[in-house]
Amino acid sequence: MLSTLAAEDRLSETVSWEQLYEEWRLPLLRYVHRLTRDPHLAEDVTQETFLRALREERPVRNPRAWLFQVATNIVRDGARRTSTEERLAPNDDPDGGDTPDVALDRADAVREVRAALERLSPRDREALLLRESGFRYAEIADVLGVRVEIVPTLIARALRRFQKSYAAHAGDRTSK
Amino acid sequence: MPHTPVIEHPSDAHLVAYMDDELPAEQGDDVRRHLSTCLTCHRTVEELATLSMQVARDAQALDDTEPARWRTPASPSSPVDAIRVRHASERSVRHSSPRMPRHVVRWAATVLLVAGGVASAAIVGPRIRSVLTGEKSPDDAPRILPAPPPVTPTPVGSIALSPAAGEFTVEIAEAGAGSRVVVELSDRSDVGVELRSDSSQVATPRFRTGDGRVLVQLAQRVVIVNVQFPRGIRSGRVVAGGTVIARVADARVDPANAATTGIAIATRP
Repeated sequence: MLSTLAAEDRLSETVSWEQLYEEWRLPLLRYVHRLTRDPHLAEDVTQETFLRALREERPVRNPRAWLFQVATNIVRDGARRTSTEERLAPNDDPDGGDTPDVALDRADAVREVRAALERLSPRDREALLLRESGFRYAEIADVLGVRVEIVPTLIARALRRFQKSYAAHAGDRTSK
Repeated sequence: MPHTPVIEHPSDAHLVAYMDDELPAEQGDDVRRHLSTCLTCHRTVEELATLSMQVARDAQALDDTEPARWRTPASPSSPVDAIRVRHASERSVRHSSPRMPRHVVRWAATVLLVAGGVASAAIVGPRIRSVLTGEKSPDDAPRILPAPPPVTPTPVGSIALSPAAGEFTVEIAEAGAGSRVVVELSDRSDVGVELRSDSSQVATPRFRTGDGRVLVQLAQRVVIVNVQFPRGIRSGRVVAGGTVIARVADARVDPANAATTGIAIATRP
């Protein structure tokens, strides 16, 4: 049974660590999973993030942004040691219950989108995935360590780079 | 003094901020007026919305492959204990060690930070890069709404939810066949989402435990998205055709882009 939190175990003055864990464990797992494509890595990063939350002794203004910022930094740190391409999940099954032809088309489309996202810079990918996770721009700015004014520019550029990457990848496939 | 629109053709950044309902009302009105007369920019919005939906679909496809154990509540043998055990052992080591004066710790940390340049670059890199490359907000960068202060939820108009529980209905009129509606909520459990046309029920998906998302391809022109919350929710959004049509924050629902999407939002008893 978990013990009652001591005051220094609180990342926030109003929310306990356990409340944070219960509330943000799954969103954080999903965010890191989307970033890394690796469920095991997502679990490791999430665990490390909450461990750091326990270590944090100062109250944090926005615990959600803090958690995602720490997780993002852990992923960035790990990304220097691991090739992104190696982390493409080989066992993804985007086919669902479609017929074989439809499933193949869907799987191709999903793979192309995924490959295009993988070719983006980490920051582009982070910006798009944070937006996709429902973050407001002020929170995205907090997580990425940028001024809020440039967040829409970051997102718009990331979308255009994604579009370019996707078109180039699709072009490669059709020319083969 | 009368307000003069400052935007001719909005930039992609303006349009993205407009789609995300992040522009102040005045700038949002400028963009909306412009979009009503500019086919080029209207197509750009559609293009950006399509790209956004591709990202959303990829995220959804990836979520569908996540381990089932992620969606189970924490058990006594869960990682919570593992994290606490690690933390407790660290604290016992830390507290049994002689303490250095604070300024020495700070100095040592500085040296370590400099020596570990690679590690620190990963954290401060983006900021350094933005300085080195001069990457900054262009003069025409959209002004973004300030972050909402973390205050007690206050009801807004007729779509306020009770902090404890609630329900909202989003009625999407003139939804084109094939449009996609995504309902995303960061609530923890058992949020009921019912999607139906004006005459019959389309689907009754139910969120999994954990943050939820339902993505539905529309076949009818009028679709009613009914969301029922057993408890207060913290954040979420409803996206139709790539455009955010409603945001959920601090146990209240706000319509977004309502003027252009023709979305009606109402609470139902």
